[in-house]
Amino acid sequence: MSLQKGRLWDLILRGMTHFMLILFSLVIAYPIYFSIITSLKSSADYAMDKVGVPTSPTIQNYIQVLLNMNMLRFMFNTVLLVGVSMVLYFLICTAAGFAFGKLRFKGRLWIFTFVLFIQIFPQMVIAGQIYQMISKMQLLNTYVGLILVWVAYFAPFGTYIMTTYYGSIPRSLVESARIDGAGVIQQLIWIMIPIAKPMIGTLGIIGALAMWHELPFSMLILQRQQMRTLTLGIALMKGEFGLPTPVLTAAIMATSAIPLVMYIIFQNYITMGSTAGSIKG
Amino acid sequence: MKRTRFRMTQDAKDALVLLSPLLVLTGVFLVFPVASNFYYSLTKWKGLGTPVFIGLENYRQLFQDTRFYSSLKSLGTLVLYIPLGVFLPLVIANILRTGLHGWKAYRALLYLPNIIGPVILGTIFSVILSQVGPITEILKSLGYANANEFYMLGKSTSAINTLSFLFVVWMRVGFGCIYFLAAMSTIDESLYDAAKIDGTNKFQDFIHITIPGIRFSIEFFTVLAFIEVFARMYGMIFTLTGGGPGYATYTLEFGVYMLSFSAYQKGYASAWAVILFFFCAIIALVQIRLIRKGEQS
Amino acid sequence: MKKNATRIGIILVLVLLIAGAATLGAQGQKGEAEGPITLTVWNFKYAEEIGGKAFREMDRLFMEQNPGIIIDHQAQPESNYYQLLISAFSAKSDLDVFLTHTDQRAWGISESYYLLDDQIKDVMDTYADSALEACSETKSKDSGIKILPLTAQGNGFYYNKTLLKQAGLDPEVVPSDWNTFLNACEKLKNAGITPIIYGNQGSPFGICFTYRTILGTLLSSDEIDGFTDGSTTFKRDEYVQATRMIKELFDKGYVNVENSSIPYFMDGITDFQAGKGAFFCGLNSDIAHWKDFGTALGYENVGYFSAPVASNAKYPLAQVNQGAGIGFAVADHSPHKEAAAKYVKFMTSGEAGKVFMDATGAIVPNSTIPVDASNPMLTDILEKMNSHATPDIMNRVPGGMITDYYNFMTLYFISGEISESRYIDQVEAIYRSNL
Repeated sequence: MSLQKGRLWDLILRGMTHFMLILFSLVIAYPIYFSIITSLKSSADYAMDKVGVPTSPTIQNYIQVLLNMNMLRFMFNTVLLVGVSMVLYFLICTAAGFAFGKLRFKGRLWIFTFVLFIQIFPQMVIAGQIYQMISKMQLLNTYVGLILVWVAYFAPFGTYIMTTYYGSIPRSLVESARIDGAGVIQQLIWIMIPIAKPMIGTLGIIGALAMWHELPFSMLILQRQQMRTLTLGIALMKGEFGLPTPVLTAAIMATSAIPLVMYIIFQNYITMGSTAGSIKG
Repeated sequence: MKRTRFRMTQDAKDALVLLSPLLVLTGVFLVFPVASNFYYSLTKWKGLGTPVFIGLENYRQLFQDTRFYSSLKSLGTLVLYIPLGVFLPLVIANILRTGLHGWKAYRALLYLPNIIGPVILGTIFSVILSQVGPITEILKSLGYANANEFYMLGKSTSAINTLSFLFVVWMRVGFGCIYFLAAMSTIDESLYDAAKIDGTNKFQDFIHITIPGIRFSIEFFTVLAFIEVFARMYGMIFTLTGGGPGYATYTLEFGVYMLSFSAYQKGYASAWAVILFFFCAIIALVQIRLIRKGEQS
Repeated sequence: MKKNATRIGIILVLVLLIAGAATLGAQGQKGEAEGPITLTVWNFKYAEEIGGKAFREMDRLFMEQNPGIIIDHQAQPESNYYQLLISAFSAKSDLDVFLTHTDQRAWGISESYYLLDDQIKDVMDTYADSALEACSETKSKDSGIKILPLTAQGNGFYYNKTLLKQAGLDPEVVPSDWNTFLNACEKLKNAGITPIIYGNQGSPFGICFTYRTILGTLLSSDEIDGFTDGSTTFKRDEYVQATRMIKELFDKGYVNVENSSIPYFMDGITDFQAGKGAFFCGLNSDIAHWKDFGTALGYENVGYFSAPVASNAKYPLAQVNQGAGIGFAVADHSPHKEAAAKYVKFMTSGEAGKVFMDATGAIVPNSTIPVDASNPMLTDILEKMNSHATPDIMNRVPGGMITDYYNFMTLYFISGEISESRYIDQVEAIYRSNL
């Protein structure tokens, strides 16, 4: 009897979960569906019917977005900036995560919490002063300037992730490497980075997304159109009076295209990465 | 004894090398900007020219400012959603732990908000949730006559609740599930096996094994939720509600932005930032305690 | 010991790497050569489709005539434009000329705008007086000029004569009198036609623009100017009256959910162009203007009046006119002020202004541009703008209050959550806190 009751409960619970997940999925699927159908309408069509599927689909909005706005150049900039930053980000997070997670030294916890603390602050609070410093360092309108700021702002959280990851690795690895006479850099390159492989996905998606969507820093540091990033593209296109909704949605779909495609390609790898390190039987 | 001490210093030297890039970068780009807010909060300054020292005047103004109290109120509502925002992914992850049909499809969809980003989502939702948006259309087709009055972003209460649900619960479910699943897989399976012998049900397992087993992860995820609410919401508020209607969706972070860049009151905005700093400091203190506890266990 | 040294070496290398990258970046930036002057121009309209094309053409003309000057025109986002300007001023970064509004957002930081008085003596009288006044720090047409006007801007009501006819109204009777206006709305409503297309989604521009026109007829120029320094308040009877007039439109159903909950830009505009409603509170320049509606609906089918005029209005003919909506200014820290002033003068001259006007339909307040007399609607609007100009309240109030003010308009008119007195009190409080 109790077994049956348990099974019934399980069934109900699963049914409820399905229901909830479908509901949540709808709430995310709908905005994307809405953006796609709207982006294929002309402004006049949209004025007539805001909800239905387009009767005569047009790619005019996409042409306007891609040609008029130098969108391809923005894409190139963003990919380049995020790519280079990610390499640096990964190295710094791995090194620091290794130190915090595996090494024992005085003040470790204090330094660790300080690093976590300093990155809590909203970008808006510090953007102005960061701009001043970047300009004093003559790094205004350079890719290097933005890359350094991005890594400084986003690395602490990545470091936290790597710290918890290395925390679960046996310390004996460090000891045996030392006995072999390996210096710290060798340990990092030959042991710690290969071990961190399963985390590349997790770290990559968290870091790259944060940078991809970042606005105030990229807006302030790269003030030349040739260097602008995609996120700012939409803000630029809005101009003084904003865009017609169909063009706006086309711009949104165009800017989201790369992350979406990357996500579709890598999604299995990403989630595997975050769990592979710890799945046992 | 001597050996241990030697090892300690070896560790410290290694750590210095490994940490220096991170410490140099954060030291240069984060410490000074955060600290300088304290000084600016004592000045009248529009972000341009020389700041004029005015003592605590900005704080006096702040404590009389309706916007400040509205911000605290919105933050209160947002915080109330955090338990749900933590509990929901936890329950889902627990069910998924034992497998669920179509999980891959759900996972792909649930993580999507993170891919698209808060600014774009805010923009799309502001169109969708408007009075003539599809929500209204659907309600109308269901025969709800006054569907137009069901304007979620137009009423103070529903606006803050919609924002809270979207930002604190819905946007975080995908990340939460993946995060908790990873944590749960570190729990020793033999604990569940032992419980099975004792004849416990799944609910009891969840309460007595799963939750204690990933306690640290749950607590840390909660802290992250606080950080997002206090310091990472600007983009979504700006695009979804603009802080309105009235001051219904104003937060401290949003106020800092509005005051410094739209009202040219950088000095006064810094006073807001300092208050925000103390909230962040409380969050950080909790974080420190958590990490210490995690270290000891 | 040796190991120690390598470690310190590695730290040094890392630090050097950062520093090296920094200098490399710096060199990239300072690679300016002798010879032609490059002017960096910032523009929040440069990425717009039509506006951008016009600016490129104007630049081409300028560079053709001034071979020694190269124009480096940069699009900047409008949403954070003044934040970017502040940052550029305080860091004295590459910026010579910039497009700017002429409202309090500009005057709040105008100490970094270069005073153009000495540079423009020769062309002063080509600009409309009202435009120069709007561009002057001291609101005088003779001095304190820090911006040169590119467009004149104002608000007024456009109406669709075809729809008025359908509702049984005489389309040639201008429904500007408040009771005539209400009567027309009532007839339209009864005929199943949307009376007013408003557009309040996001920012309540529909409401805000209506306020501007009505307040223009109720308050004198000096009283509107008083919103700059707090001498005129939102508690005045005239503001309360304007609030009640707008509220009446809501209460009587002339403004309803369908026409108020779309974004003004561009949905409201396209809806009016598509003939989905009879009245629209539009602009006079740039966009949402005579040309947009005239070409879409046929000039003979569009009517215009400056404001709905209440029976007690002291200034029934008043036409809200900002004098100048946007204009070009020179950064005070620019090392090339002469060249920059030359460029700014050219961009607002008859020659360049004509290019901009032809492309966008904007009204350029430069007397050397021949007015197209063949278009009676434009002639009518220009006549009203010139003869009955009154300042725009939103051009006078502190820039910092705008977002909060909009949010409370929404709360009162659309959400209906607060009482009229609470609304007025709140607006006054927002105003005071930003003075």
